[in-house]
Order: sequence, then C-alpha cells, then structure tokens
Amino acid sequence: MIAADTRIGAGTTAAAPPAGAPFLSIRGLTKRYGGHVANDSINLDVYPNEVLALVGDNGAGKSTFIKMISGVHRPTSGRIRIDGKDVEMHSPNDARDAGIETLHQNLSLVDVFTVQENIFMGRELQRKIGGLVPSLDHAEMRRRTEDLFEELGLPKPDMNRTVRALSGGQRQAVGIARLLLDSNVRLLIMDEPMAALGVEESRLVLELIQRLKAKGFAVLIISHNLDHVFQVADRIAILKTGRMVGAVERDEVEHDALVHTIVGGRLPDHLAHRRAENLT
Amino acid sequence: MTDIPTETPDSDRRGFSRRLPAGMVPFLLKYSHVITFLVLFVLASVASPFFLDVTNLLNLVRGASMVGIVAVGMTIVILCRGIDLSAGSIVGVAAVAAAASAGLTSPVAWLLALALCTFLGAINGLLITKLNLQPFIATLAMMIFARGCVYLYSDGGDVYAQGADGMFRWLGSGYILGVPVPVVLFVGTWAIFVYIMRHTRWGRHVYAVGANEEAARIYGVAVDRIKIQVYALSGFLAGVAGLILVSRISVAEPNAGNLYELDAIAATLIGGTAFDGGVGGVAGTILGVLILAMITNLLNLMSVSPFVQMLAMGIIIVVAVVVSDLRNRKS
Repeated sequence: MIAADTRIGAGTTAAAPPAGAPFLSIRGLTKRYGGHVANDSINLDVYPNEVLALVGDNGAGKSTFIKMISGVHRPTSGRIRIDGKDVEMHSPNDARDAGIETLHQNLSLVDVFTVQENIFMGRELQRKIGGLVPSLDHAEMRRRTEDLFEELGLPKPDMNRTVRALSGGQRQAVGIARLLLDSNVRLLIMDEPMAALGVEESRLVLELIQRLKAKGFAVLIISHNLDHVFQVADRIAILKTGRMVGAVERDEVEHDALVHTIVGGRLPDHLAHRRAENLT
Repeated sequence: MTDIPTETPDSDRRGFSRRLPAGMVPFLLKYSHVITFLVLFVLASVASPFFLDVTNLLNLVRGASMVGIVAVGMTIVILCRGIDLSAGSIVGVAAVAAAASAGLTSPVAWLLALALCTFLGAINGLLITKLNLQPFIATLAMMIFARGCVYLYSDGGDVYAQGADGMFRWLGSGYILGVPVPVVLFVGTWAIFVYIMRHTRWGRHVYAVGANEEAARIYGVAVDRIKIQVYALSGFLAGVAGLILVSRISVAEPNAGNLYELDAIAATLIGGTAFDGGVGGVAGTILGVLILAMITNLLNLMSVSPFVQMLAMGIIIVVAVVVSDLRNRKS
C-alpha cells in the first residue's frame, strides 16, 4: 500500500537512509543441499525506493539467495515477509504474484522475436471476436509497448526488428521493460545486468536502474563490478560463504574497505551496527 | 535520452550481393519461395500448353492435398523445434483404421481413425516431454511402431473398405461448388492454421517454445503442454490425409502414406520455415507444397523420367535451405 503511493511521486535523494517499513523482510533464511549449507540464516530488509546491491565472491551464495526470493528454489528454513506478511513461494509465478520480478542473466529474451513479442511473451493480449474466435490484440500490445518505453524514458525501439538486431544495452532495456509490464511489480531483481556490456551501454542500464528507483521500485542487483555498485546502489549487502555479513550505506564505506569486507567477511568496527545479526 | 548505438548488419556489402542495389537482397531472400513459385508457374505454362488447363491445375492441387495437410502439421512441429518422422506411418494407420471400420458408417469410421491418430501423436509428445527423448528418436520409433501396427492388422495385404457408404468416397472424390473436396480440406486447413499461428496466444507460444524454450518456460508458457498438443495435432492432420487417401480408392494399402513425412519436411523447408524452430510459418508451406507438386507436374508434362524429378527435388531442397538460412541470419 505504502509503495503504491510512493511510486507515483518523484525520486527521493540517493543517500537518504531507508525510511518506513521494508517491502521485503528476510529472517533466518537457510538453504541446505545435502550437507552443504549454501545460505546460512540470512537476514536482510529491502525497502521501496532503493537500489540494493548484493556483493560477494564466487560461491558466496548470491545465486542461491536470489533463487529463493524469486521462487525458483524453496528455502530449507527461514521466513520471507512481504509488507509484513509471511509468504510461501513455490514457483516464479508465486513470486510474480507477490510483486517480485527477476531479470535472469542471458535467458530473458527470444532473439528471433520482435521487441513487442518479447515484452508480451507468455501473457499475450487476446480478445474473442464475437465471443468465440480468439484473436491477439496486436494494436493494443504495440500501444502498451510504446507507452512502457516512454514511461521509462527509453528511445522508442523499431517494433518490426527482432531483438537480435539490437545492441546489448538495448536488449537489456527490453528485458527490464518486460518485467514492468505487470502493474503490481514492486521489487526487481537483476542478476549481473551490466555483464558483457560496454561502457556506454552499462551507463544506459545504470541510468535506467536510477529511473526505476525514482519511480518507487525496489531494485536488488547482483554485480561483480564494484565501480558500478558504487555508482548505482544506495546500500550494499555483503555475503561471505553463505552468511550475510551486513548491509551498509554506500556513503559509509570506501572501495577498499568494501573489498576487505568481501574477502574477510567482517565489517569495519565503526560499522558494527550494520551487521546482519542486528536485524530482528 | 541519448542515442543508443545499434549494430547495423553490414553483410549487405559482402559477397554476391555487392552488385545489387541496397535493400534488394533482403527482399529477394524474404520472398524467395514466392519468386520460385511464380517463376515455376510461368515456366510451366510456357513449357506445356496443358499446364494452365483448369482440370490439370485442380488435379495438381488435389494430388498435393494429402502431403499438403501433413505439411501443415509438420510446419507447426518444426516451428516448435521438433520433427515428426511418424506422420507418414500415421497416414497409413488412418487409412487402415477407416477402411476396417467403414461399415459402421463414415462419420464413426472417420472419428475412430482420427482419434487413434491423435492419440499416437500425443504419445510422441509424451515420449518427448516426459521421457526426454529427442523428437527425432521418439518419432522414428513411432514411425516404425505405427507402420508395424498397420502390417500386423492387414497381414501385409490390402484392407478393403467393406460396407462403405457414399460419404466415404465423397471425401476423396467429391466436389464442393466445383472444387474437389481434398482441395477444400487442404486450403481450409492451411488457412485456419495460418490464422491460429499468427493471431492466437497458442500460436505465439508454439513459436516461443521453438525459439527459446528456457525463456518461454521462465515466462510462464506451458512448454510441455504445447509440445504434446503440437504432436497430437500433427497426428490428427496426418489422420485427415489418411482419410482422403483411403477414400479415393476405398482400399487401404499397408504402405499408404509411406514417406509422406519427407515430402512434408521438404515442403516446410522450401516454404521458408527454419529447421531449428521459431522462424517461418504455415503461410509459406502452401507454396512449398505447390512448388514440389508443380515440379513433378511440369516434368511429367514434359515426359521427363521420374528419376530425374528426384534429382531436381534434392537440389531444390538444398537451395531452399541455404536461402532460408541466409534470410534468417539477416533479419
């Protein structure tokens, strides 16, 4: 409810600490694969209107964590609360119904489809002519696609070309626009959205993420590129060997200190109050 | 907003296309099957005074209608990144099943045969989705199995449609407003599926599964259900072709429909559908079917040996696939 209101308003300032109630609240989330603990009692809050970056070495458990909150894997134990209510997610569709959409790495688009066909894949608009004969509403889908791009401040794509002909940045924009078609989406999860993009292209995606935040969405991104993280994130959550070290404000931490935390798995002393176990 | 750099395909400037005006090559590639069809049509009407005869043309389309109906199903299977090698055998199943049950009145015989064929097609789909078999392997197995059923039932001999009523023969030999019934069935089936593939959610989902199964699954397309339906449909349409075949002579030969699947695959490829799924459409398939039929007809009218016709078809398939590959790489 709160988020629905903030979404209409313009963006808040980047460094403002998260205020109000979290959209997503995770407590004690654990995933075991046999004897291996991939995620060990993770605590984390995600607020509307913020970009939260999830960082950590390879094997720190980022993907496992993302998969649990996007409904792909079920947690072994722990709680996921959305707007203060406990939810159980058995499939990506459950997560989608709860307002969580995920931009998967490399898997999100059909190369030989046009922009519009990609945006509406799996939820094509279909009317019934005379109440009987199904018929796709191509014109309405086109109109909504154009609206979506305009709303996101993206240049209007060539509707008749396949996405294979687009640049990497444009493709990523289509993938992100696709997630926003559904009007109840609140949290966007992006797994390495700038991977394999050039400098200019990355900038386009980073700008787009800022614009999404300004529209009131919560954005959770995974990135290995700390320069990108410092450019776009309001807060940075650090995972180390399956445990959540803590989540710090971007302005509280220097690049080098962040690298130390990622490698060492311990927050600097002056940030001890940001430790994950302090979340209750 | 800033301009985003776009990769402009510059392959226009390479190879054979260098001498043609810009925009010409994509056009030629896109409409290659239409151009081939028109060229053949003109060539045939010049080469033989009998070609343009209405009876000859109707006979040509009627002869092609059975492979044509199978090819509509085959195109949809190939769009879904599959293949149905069992289609010809299922034509045989339909022919024998309808002949054997002709005495129960035509509608009952037809329904029985079609239900059986749809069931066999659905089994293809189940083997592919639930046992994770490659479409090639699953339908190869069904091709052998279904043909085996036909031989087992007929004991290797012909099955006569005993007690068949007038309707039974009408399907293959009758006319509707002067047009042979098989032609009406073929063109009607084609038109319906051109519509379904372009203008319904189901059609889009078939394309999505064929183009990127993983993405389709992530975005909520019921991938397995679509695949099973597609193979069941191919079985059903093969059944319709089998009914026409048995109706024309009221006898089901045990090798009825043999190798239809290969003609259907050829027609699909010539019609511009990509073999690896997601690109092309049913619309072009009718041209593929007619191109194959015209070549045969033209060479027959010119008294060229059927063996030479096979050489021509082999070459045309290679050319068609190369052209469609070029086109798909460009779009």
